[in-house]
Amino acid sequence: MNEALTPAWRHEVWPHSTAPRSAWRGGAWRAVPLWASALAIALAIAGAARAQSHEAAAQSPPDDGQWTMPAKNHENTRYSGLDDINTDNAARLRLAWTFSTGVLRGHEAAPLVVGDTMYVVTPFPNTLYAIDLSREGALKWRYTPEPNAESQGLACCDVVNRGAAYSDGRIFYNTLDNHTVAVDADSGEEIWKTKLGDIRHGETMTMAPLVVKGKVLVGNSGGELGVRGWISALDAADGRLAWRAYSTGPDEDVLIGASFRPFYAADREANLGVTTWPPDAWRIGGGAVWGWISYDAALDLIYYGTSNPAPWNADQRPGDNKWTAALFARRPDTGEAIWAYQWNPHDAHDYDGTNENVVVELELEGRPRKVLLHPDRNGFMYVHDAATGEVLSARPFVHTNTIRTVDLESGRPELVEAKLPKQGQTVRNICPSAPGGKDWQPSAFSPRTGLLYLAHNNLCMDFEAMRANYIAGTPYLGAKVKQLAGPGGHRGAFTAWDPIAAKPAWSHPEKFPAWSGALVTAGDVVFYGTLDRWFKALDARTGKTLWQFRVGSGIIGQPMTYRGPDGKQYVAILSGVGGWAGAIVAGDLDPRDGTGALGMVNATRDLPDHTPKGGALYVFALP
Amino acid sequence: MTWYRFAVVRYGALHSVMTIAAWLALASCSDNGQHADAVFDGGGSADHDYVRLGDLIPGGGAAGGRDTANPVAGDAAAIADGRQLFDWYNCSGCHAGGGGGMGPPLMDTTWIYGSRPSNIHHSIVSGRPNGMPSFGAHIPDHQVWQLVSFIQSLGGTPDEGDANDRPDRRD
Repeated sequence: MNEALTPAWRHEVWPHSTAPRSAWRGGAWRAVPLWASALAIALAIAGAARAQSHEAAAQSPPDDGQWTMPAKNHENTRYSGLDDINTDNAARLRLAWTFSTGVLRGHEAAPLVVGDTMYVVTPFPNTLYAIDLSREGALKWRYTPEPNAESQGLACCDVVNRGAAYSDGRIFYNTLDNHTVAVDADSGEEIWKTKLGDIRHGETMTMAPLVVKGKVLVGNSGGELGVRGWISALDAADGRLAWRAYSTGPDEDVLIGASFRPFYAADREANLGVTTWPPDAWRIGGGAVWGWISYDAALDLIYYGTSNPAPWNADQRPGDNKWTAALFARRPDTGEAIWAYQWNPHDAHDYDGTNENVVVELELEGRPRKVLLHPDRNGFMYVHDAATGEVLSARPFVHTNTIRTVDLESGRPELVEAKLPKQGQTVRNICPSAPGGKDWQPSAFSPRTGLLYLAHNNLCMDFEAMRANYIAGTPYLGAKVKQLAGPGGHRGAFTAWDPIAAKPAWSHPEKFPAWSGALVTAGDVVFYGTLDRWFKALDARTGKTLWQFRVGSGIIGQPMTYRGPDGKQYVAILSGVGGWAGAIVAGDLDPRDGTGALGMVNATRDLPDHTPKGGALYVFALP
Repeated sequence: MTWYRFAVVRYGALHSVMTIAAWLALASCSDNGQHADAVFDGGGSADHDYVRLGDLIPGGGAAGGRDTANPVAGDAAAIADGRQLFDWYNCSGCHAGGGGGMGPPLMDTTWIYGSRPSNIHHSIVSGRPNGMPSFGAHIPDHQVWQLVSFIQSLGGTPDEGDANDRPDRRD
């Protein structure tokens, strides 16, 4: 069974432009216009499914106008309750102010706003800027952690940083050379700095921490260098390591114990992190934790995914390679695993599991259910039961030819043998390509529309697998890859996905891989940016482009919105091309070698014709 | 054919990290004379035992430093071996087929640390501060020169010269 869960209701018919503004500030649904009797029928069908999420939104406190973590909240919805900027007026957005970061590499971070201060963390050298919003964007202070310059040579996909997190008067973030720092949010003074990894083993840190119950949760990067992946919890007070859970190895190291109850029986055997590998291969087997962590307070579970196994050449590591390309649910206090699920057993395509798991409540088969929405690199959109890990639905959101279907009985994907790379061969036209149907770029969920909004890729690849040698601190790949545009010729898209109907409500093709995060608001406006330098506002219900602005360099950052000290709503985005998708520009790569940047150059040869380098913050507001 | 080329072919076929590591250990023991010759045959005295990166000589004196010619420059077999070593030592993981990725491209004419064979040799052996690892303890010197031959074959360096000295340059 892999069908839609309930009858479809379509969002493009939702009446948006005539609804009264401001009556239900904070996220209730809009009044139904009387003239729309035909639509009312559709709404009646939709009503049951929609009501639950709307009630939840209506009950939540009004948005305080701050943005204290990259994903806006623990659930990772990237949904703002602000609606001053809405579908009626978004076309009048104007540039309010800008700020140069002084860094030329890829800017993937989300700015934070706490009180009257904005915080911006840059790619290497990971400078943290505090900007005074009450003094028209004046620079308040800067903190320079001075990371080891050699760490730049170990970052697989540009020297990015995905942002900081605020909690209890402190800003927490990671430096490329494997330190987590706590900085006083008022003064910019360093409070503590903890070293967590070693560049000599290929480790770096690029992810944004999540702070839960006084613990700063962080993980390592380096799935392309044969690291052993881990997540760690640091005491927010003093930076001391509270617990660390590895992604591979014996259960003791993975913090799998008596509480572990994975949904699928095959996942319940002991020490799978050892037995699903050739001897000792788990020690250099990847499973890095460089993506998003979410948290549900009611279930008291954190959720995060692990990266691809190392090396890319799967013939060198027969077995399921647990727990790489997998999802963990853990207790934040102790780190103990409650359940786990592997999206891509024995991954052969670099389909990391590090993408976000957005915690939402949906009405499924007549009852409300707390679920995780996970757009996986393998091109399937998963809906998991948040309490058990059960796969409730898995449907492709991009063109895919590597997986036929996901068997809901066993939870395992049915792989297409012909699209599995084999050592010594080149397998052509594998879809999606290594960065997947969607890479790190985080999606946004609106409780008003019930849709998940995601910027994503439309890429395929030719993959030549070859023997990889492990030399600590160097890439451990065994692959030569060339990526190509997927069907249709566009290399990316921005899609509104209906998780109940399990299909897109609308989709907007993009010339290049769409590598930015998404933001959706109570004004029913969704924001994202493109590699060819557009920052866009779309109608969340119809996908209509309401407004776009041409910035200085391609956008791979995460849009956010806040209420300024003057009471106005602002929208902010970092521009500054780079990351994996923009590597050809950020790294001055040679377009003649299609295998450059793990094959991304082959698919982005024309990007230098569209954007230069350059990191800058752009802030927009209504006049 | 020199003994080491034979070794590359024979052991390379086994495709084993352990074997290569063991062989490297052996090579470093048995190769001392050859290693020393290759490093220090630039004709310079100890006073000149440095690799000059640029052309700016304070005081206008003669350009000094070691400027060793690649002993296997242009040698087809050396280029072929270098191409294989480029994968085996994971150079290609960062520099791809020469177009770059985690590391800079090697097929274009932009050279952060100089394009002379000595500069490239020095980059491989000593490493560079922004992320190029030091492979001096891993790679026997003759293989470093094979790698330099392969890199030179990518077309980003003029024959035995400096990319900055190319004829079309107008400073």
